[in-house]
Order: sequence, then structure tokens, then C-alpha cells
Amino acid sequence: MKSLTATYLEVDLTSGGSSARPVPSEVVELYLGGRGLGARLLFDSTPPGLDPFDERMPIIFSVGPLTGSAAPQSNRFVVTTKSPATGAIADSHCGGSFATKLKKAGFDGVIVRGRSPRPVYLEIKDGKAELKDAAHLWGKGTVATQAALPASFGKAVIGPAGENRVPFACIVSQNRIAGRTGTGAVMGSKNLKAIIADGSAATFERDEAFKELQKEVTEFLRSHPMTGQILPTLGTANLVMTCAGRNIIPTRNFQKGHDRRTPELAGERMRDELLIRKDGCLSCPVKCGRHIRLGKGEGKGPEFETIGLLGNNLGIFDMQTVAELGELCDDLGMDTISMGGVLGFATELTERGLLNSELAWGRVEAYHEAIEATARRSGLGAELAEGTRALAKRRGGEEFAIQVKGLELPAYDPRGCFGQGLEYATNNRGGCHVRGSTMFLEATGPVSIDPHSTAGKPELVVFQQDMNAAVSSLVFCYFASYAVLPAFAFKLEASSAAYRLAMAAASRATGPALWLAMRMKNPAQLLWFEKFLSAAWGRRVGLGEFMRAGARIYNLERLYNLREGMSGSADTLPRRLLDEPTFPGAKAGVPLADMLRRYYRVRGWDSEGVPTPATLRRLAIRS
Amino acid sequence: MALFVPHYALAKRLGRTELRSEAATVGALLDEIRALVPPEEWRASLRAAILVNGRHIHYLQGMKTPLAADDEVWMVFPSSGG
Repeated sequence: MKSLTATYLEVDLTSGGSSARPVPSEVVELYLGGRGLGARLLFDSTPPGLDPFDERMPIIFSVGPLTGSAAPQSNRFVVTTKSPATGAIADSHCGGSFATKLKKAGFDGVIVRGRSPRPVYLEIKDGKAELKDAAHLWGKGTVATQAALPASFGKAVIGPAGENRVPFACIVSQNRIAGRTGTGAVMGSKNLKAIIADGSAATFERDEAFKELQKEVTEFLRSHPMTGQILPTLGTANLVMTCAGRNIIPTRNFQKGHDRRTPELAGERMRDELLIRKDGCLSCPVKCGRHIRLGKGEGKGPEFETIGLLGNNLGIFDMQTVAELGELCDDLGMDTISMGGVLGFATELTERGLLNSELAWGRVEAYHEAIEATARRSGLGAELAEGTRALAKRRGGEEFAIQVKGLELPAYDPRGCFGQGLEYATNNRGGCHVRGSTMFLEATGPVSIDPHSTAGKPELVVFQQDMNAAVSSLVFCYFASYAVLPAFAFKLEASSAAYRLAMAAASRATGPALWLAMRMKNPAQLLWFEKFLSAAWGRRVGLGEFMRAGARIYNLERLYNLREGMSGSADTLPRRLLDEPTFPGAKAGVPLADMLRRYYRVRGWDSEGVPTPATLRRLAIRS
Repeated sequence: MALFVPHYALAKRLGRTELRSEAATVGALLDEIRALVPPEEWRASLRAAILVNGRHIHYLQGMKTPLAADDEVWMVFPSSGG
């Protein structure tokens, strides 16, 4: 077995000092890398109750055991800290090339503490760290900032929103975004404008067996309908028509599940009318990014989430306008999901006379100004910049403030996918869709586990969350997991007996099958994730060990949140999503309570949502 | 009359993004649409999910699902992303 020790660079911005910190093999073996290792390091290195903007709060950048290996979809990094938006653990993931550059610079991660007395950026080159003056970059957008830094380096930068500690400020790398949970604000609180990395260290030793596996998985992903056709052809905007048909795309602050004009935002239209080229991360065969024609020339095609929250949710049905609002958020350094959620909520507040503003559905100019003002905390923006939860506390409307644990919800209305509702309610980082993507198995994928039933959903959500925790600790792109469903499922004709059988089996057997699977040791290697991890570690890792690592990581994050004062009472949804139906004949929204009780039992938590001592022992978690 | 929203490719073929129909069931509505397109193009549509007011017809009454005025019937393909 190879040495699994991970080496982090520790930097103290207050003193300006730095040193290498080895993370022992036994910790890496339990927490894999990326998200898992970041959670362990955060838990161990902070006292309870530390404010996200306290200078002792670390912000941790982690890569994974496969970074630099050129394994498909492995070129990502994770940022871990405490979220200023939620008060819970923050982890945000990003593609691009920064992860490999950091590895080439000689590190598996960077831990930054302290606060610089003046704006700086951190340059990491061939094992050495240097803080450099960033006065000339302060106040600049993420595009200009990256352009002003040396071209050969991988970069992770913030914009004005991060500098101004907007709790949903993001970190940008090329045109990829670590968007959620406000990690950019923590970076800004430290007067750290950017981290750049480059070097010539060997990143990964690839033997013939590894190259064969890499080729096999790349070909598999290229041939799979989801990762080889749908995502490459349409990008994530492929979801627009499906979510509209399913009645789950946010519309006017989640007052409805679609609009008659939603099809104007279809990914197919972007492809046919605006697409210039596809775009993607290093070593990714999918290339889900879009580069499109814009009024001013060309730019980034919006992701589905941006379309959902900054477009459909606000009554804007012109793709180029949505793209421009998305680019504005990227440049200012703000998460498009949270920004769209805040604007939707503020617009409804205005409609109801609870807020005095110019915001109105479809009024592009007002939204444009509000986004600028939010990043700079000026005028109305000073209120919007505190996020939906704080705005509701100040102005009212808590029942239609669409957030969970302080994080605005993404573009899947859970009233049409109950499991996704349970996932939102229980996710450690709050209202997020990529902790398990249960909606893929309920509503958007080829086989639909009855989205309006609660049966089997707790088991499904736990399985998906644990799988995601493990995959995003490698650090692989979670989109790869959409290829786990066999290709034949995409070819079934909806009226065929085989399709009906698959639907019935999925709805009835998923719960018991997953309950059983999660209790088995399962030494088999069923997915490519365990195979790649085995190659990195030089010993065999089975699916059971891989999934247990995911469960361990998930439970550790839960322990962090509990330690920081977040109890089980935070595992809920906004009243609108619980009480107000959007489907004809329905009397309410998501029936959360029954699913939640069962979810706690499946997780091995007590009735208050606290992991039991037996669960901690089973997962070898030291708390 | 129920509203039918075809998937993108079918909409292009039909030259319309939505149609109205007085069909009494989903099956009857799809028969109407099928008659408007060449058989080889209709084949591609067979893999689409049929949704009535957001609900998959598998969880309603399949092709016999009755349609009322103002019902919305959508045809969509599997999708994913985030």
C-alpha cells in the first residue's frame, strides 16, 4: 500500500508565516480527501462557536487523491469553512484547472488563517508560499482580477461581494464557480483577494492498469446517454423543459411550478440559436459548459440553476438577458442561486407592500441594479446582501422565505419530488441540490421513483447523501454519478411493459434494497469510483468501505453543525413548501414529518437528530 | 380543451410550441399528435415521459388518464445536471 499522507500548506495571514502540515495516513484513509478531509480539519482546528469572520477561522482548500491523475472529472477542489450564510459547515466545489495546479505546486491543500492588515494574494509556486500586495486588485471584478494575475497559474479569486462579506459571495476559478455557502465572504474577511498556484511537481504516478481504467471509464462516460449525449449536447440547461413539464421549476418565488413562457429558456434553444462552443474542466469528457452569443459579443452560457433562479423565477424569459445577469453575478463574485432566491423573495415582499423597491417580475433593469447594489452593499443592496433569512426577519414573510438553514433553495421545487424535499431539509450545508440529487431519481431521470410518495425516500436520500459525500471527497464531479443508471433505462419506451416494470420496481423496491445494501460490508467494486481510489491507494477498496467513508463524512459534518448550536429543529422546509400545494388535487406540499422520523432512524440518529454513540462507533468517528 | 406541450424536437416538427385538444384521454390526444408527424419521427417520441399537470401518467391511469379542460400535458425527455 502506498503512503496516503496528505500535505497541506498552512498560511497565517496575520503573521505572514507559512509551513507544511502533513495529515497522517490513518486520517486520510477514513476521510479520503477533498470534502471529507476538509470537514475533519475544520472540526479539529476550531473551538465551538467561532464566528465565520473571526480571524482564527480557517478557510481550507483541498484537492483529492486522484487530482492530477487525469482520471475523468477528477480535476476539482473543495473549499471548507464555516458558512456566514448558515452558521453551518460550508463546503463549496469548483472545477477548472486550479486543483491540478495546486497539486503541481506540491500540496494537497491550503489552510489559511488570520487576517492580513492589507489586501494580499497568496502565490504558491513549487512548494513555496509568498504573500503579495493586492491593493491594485481590490475592488476589481473576478474577470479583471484573473486577467491581472500571471497567466500560467491556476487561480481562485473573489470579487467585490467577497470583499464586502456578502454571505453568499463565491470563489471563482476561470469561469467555474465555488458558488454556495459564502466561502468568498470568509476569504474577503481575511483581506485575501486570491490564491494562485503553479509548479512542476509530479502529481500522480499512472501505471498501465490505471491508464487502462482511465480509458475504459472515459469511453463509458462518452457512450452513456446522460454523460455522453444529453449533458454534452445541451449543458445543464437540458433540465429546463423537464422541470417545467414536471411543474417544479421555481416561478415567482416558488408560487408556481412553471410558466407558459418557460420553454423560451430551453437548453435546446440555447443550442440552436446561441451556442458558439462547448466548455469544460480539465480532463472532463463531458464538457457541460456553454459559450454563447450575447448582445455585447459572447460569454458564458447560463447553467440550469442560473436559468431557474435568475430567469424563470424572476419572470425573465430571454436567454441572453439571463446569461448577462449570470455573468454579472460571476464577475461581482456572488452565487447566482442565492442571488436569484433573494431577488425573488424581495420581489414578493414588494408585491405585498412589505418592502419599498422597484423590483417587479420581469423588470430586468431593476434586477440588474439590485445585483450591483447587493455586491457593494449600497441602498436596497445593503438589505439584500444579508440574504433571504435575514431579510425575512427584518421585513416579515418568513413563510414564503425560500431557504433552508439560511441557504436559498435551488431550482427544483420539492412539492413535485418529495425525496428532494427531505434532502433539502437534512443537508448539512442547507438548501442544496447536489448533496444527493434525489430529484434525478424521482423526477428528471429516465425512471421515476414516484415523486409524490414518501415510500423508500428516507433510505434513498441517505444513500444518495453518503454516496455524494464519498464522491465529492475524491474529488470527482458529481455529474459522473448520473451515469450510474444503466444506459438501457434511457432507451425504454414509456408505453412498454419493461418501462412499467422498471417504474414499479424502482418505486417499491428502492427503500428495502438500499436499507439492506447500507448494512452490508460489500467488498465488490461496482462503480469506477472505488476502482480509481484503489489505484490511488495501492490497495483494494470495495463499495462498502467507500460508502461507509461517505456516511462517516456526513455524520462528522452533522456533529460539527450540532456543536455549533444547530439542532434537529433546523431540518425543515419553508412553510410555503410544506403547506401550499402547486399540483391540482393536492392539499399541501411536502409531507416532511413522516419522512424525517424514518430518515433519523435509517441514519442511526436519535429522535432529536443526534448521531447515537453506536453510530459513531460503527463509523469510527472521533468527536 | 387540454393544452399539449410537445418536446422541443416535436414542437419544431409541428411548427408550434403548444396545441389545444379536445381529446378525452391521454391516449386519444397522442393519437391526434401522432397523425401529424411521420412515423419515423414519432418513434423518437416514444421514449419521452408523458406528464399530466406535472404528474407522470404511470402514476395516474396511463394512456387512459382522462383529460379535463385546462389540463396540461407535457412530453419531456430524461435530463440531469445541477
